[in-house]
Amino acid sequence: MTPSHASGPTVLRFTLNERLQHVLLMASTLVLLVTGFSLLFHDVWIGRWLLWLEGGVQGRGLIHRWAAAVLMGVCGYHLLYILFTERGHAQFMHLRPRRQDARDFWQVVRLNLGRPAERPAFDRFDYRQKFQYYAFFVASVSMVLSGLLLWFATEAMAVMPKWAFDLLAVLHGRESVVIFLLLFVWHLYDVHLRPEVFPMDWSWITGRIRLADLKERHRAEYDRMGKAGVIDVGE
Amino acid sequence: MRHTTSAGRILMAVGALAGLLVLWPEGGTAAIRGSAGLTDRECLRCHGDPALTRVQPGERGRTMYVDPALLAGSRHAKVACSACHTGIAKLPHDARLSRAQCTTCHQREAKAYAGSIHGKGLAKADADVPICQRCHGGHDIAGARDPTSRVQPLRQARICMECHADTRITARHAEMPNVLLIRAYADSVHGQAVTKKGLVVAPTCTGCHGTHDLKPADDPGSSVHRANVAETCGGCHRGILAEYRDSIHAAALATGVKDAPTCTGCHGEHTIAAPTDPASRVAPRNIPKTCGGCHAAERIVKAYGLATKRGETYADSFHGIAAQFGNLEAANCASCHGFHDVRPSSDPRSRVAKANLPATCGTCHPGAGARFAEGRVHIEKTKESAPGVYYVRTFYTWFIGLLMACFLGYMAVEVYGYRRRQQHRKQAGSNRRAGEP
Repeated sequence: MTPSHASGPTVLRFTLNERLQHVLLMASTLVLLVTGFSLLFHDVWIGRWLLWLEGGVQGRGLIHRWAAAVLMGVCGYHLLYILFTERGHAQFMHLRPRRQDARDFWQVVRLNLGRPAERPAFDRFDYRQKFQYYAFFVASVSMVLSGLLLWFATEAMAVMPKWAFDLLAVLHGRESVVIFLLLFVWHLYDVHLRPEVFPMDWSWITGRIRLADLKERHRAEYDRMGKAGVIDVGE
Repeated sequence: MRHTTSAGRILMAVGALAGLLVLWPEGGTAAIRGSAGLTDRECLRCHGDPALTRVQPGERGRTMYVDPALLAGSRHAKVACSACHTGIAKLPHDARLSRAQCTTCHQREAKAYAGSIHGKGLAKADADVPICQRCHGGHDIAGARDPTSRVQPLRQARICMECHADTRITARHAEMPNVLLIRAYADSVHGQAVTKKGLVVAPTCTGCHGTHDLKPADDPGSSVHRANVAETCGGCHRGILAEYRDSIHAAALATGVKDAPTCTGCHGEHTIAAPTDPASRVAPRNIPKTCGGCHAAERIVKAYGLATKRGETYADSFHGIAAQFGNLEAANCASCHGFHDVRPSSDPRSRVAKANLPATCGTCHPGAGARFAEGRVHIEKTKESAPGVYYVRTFYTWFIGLLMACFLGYMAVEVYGYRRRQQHRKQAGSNRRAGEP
C-alpha cells in the first residue's frame, strides 16, 4: 500500500526534534504501562507472566523507574522546548484552548448527525488534538508526582502518614488505566482508525502532511500558510 | 527363712550382687561370679564352643555360641553371665531359661519403660514391641556414648526405623504413625545435623520423644504432647523458649486454647527445616502461608475473634506482592509482628503497638516517623476504615466509565457521519449518472 504522504506535494508538520520527543514519550509510556500493569494485575495470569518476563518485582521496579526517568526527561525537555525555543513556543501557542474549539466540536457533532452546520476550519491543532495534549499532560503530572512519592517512599515516610501512601498507590494504579484508555482507545482511534486517516496518519514518522490533507483537516492553517507564502496554494 | 525357696534365695543373691555391681562397677573378680556360684568360665565351657546349637521342635537350630571377645569388649565385660541370665540352679541348666534380666540393675529405666507405649504393649504380650535388647543389643552392649553403641546419637534413628519402617509390623498396628512422616526426619535440619554434620547434640528420635519413657503425642505425659512441646524443644533452644513463653501464642496455649501454636505449629515436626531453607515453613516466602494456616482459617478467626482478612490485605500490599514474586527482603508477617515473641498490638511491648511502629517500620525504612504510623496498617479498605482510598476508587470507577462512554459515543457519531456522507456521495453519483444523457 502506498502511504498517503507519497502522493502529492507535502509540507513539514513536525520537526525531527518533535518527532523524537513523541517517540521517546511513546516508548517510555508503553514500558511504564506494561511494567505498571504487571503489578496492578499481579493476581491474574497475565500479570504473573509479565512479572516473570521482567525478572520478578525487583526487575519490574528497575525497568519501571528507568522508563519513568526517560518520561520525566522528555517532559522536562518539552517544558524547556515550549518555553525557550521559538518553534516550541509557537507550537504551544497553537495548542492554547480557545472558545472556538467548543464551537468546532459542536459543529462536527451536528454535521455527523446530519443537522445543518458549518464545516469548521481548524487551525494547526483541532479540538481533538488539544484534548489529547492536555489530557495526557494532566495525567502524566499526577503520575509523576504520585510515582515520585512512591519511589522515594522511605524519605516520604518522614512526612507522610500511611493512609496517604495507600491513597497514592490506588491513585497511581487507577490513573494508569485512564492513561491506557486515553492512548489505546482515544489516541489510537484518532491516528489510526478514524476514516480520514485509516490505516495511519504517517506524519508522526515522516513529519510531513500532504497539502491536500492540510487543506482538508487544518483549513485555517492552510489559508494562513498560503497567505504567508510558505506554501503554494495553487490559486 | 525356712520357707524361703531355692529360687527365692537365688533372687536375693542376684539382688545383692546387683547392688554390689551398682556400687562397685569395677568389681574385679568378685563381680565375675554370678548367682549360684557360677563363674563365666563354667558357662563358656559349653557356650564357648562355636558348634553349640539348640535344636527344638519347630526350630532349625539356633547357635548358642557366645563369642568371649564380644563379651570382653562390651560394657558388661565385668558383669557375670549369671547376673543377667538368672534362674540357673544347676548345670547343665534347663533347656529353657527366662529372658536375660536387665531390670535387676537398671531399675529406673525399667520403671520408665513400664509406663511407656512400648512397655504397655509388652504388658499386653505384644510380640512386636521392643524389649531392652531390641534397641541396646545383647552381649555386645555398649554404653550410650560409646561410638559403637547401637543407641549412640549418630546411629540411633536407624534402630527406631527397624520397626517403624517395617511394613509387617506397621500393618499389624494401625495406631503406629505414618512411616513417610517419620522418614521426613532424615531431610530435616535435625536429621541433616546428625548425618551430614555429625553433630551428637542434634536431636535424633529419642531427643524429642524420650527414650525408655516414650509415649504417644496424645498422652499428656508425653514429651511431644502439645502442652510439653515447648519445654522439649526448649531443652536445647533455651533462649527461644524464654521468648516464646512471653508471647500471645504461649499465653493462649497455657489457658487451654487447643488451636494456639506451640513450636511445631509453625516449624513442623519431622519436616523441620532452617528458615534459610526455601522449603521451610518459616522461610520468608512461606511465612504468610504458615501464619495464614490459622489467621486465614475461618473457623479459628471466628472462634477467637481474630482480626479478619490478614492474608488478603497483606497479599495486596507492596510487601505482599514483592514477597510473592521473589523479593526475600520484603516484609512478611514476622518482620513486623515478630515471631517467637509475637504479641497483639494492644500490648505496649508489641512491635506493632502504635508507639513502636516508627521503630519497627524504621528497621527497613529509616525515614519512617511518628506521622507515618498515623494510619492503620493492612486493613481492609472500606468506606469507614479508609475513606480517602474509598473516594479515590469511587471517583475513578465513575470517571473511567464516563470517559469510555464519551470516547465510544464520539467515535460512534463520527463513524455514523462518515457512513452517511458516503451514502450521500454514492447517491449523488448515481443521480448524476442518471441525469446525464
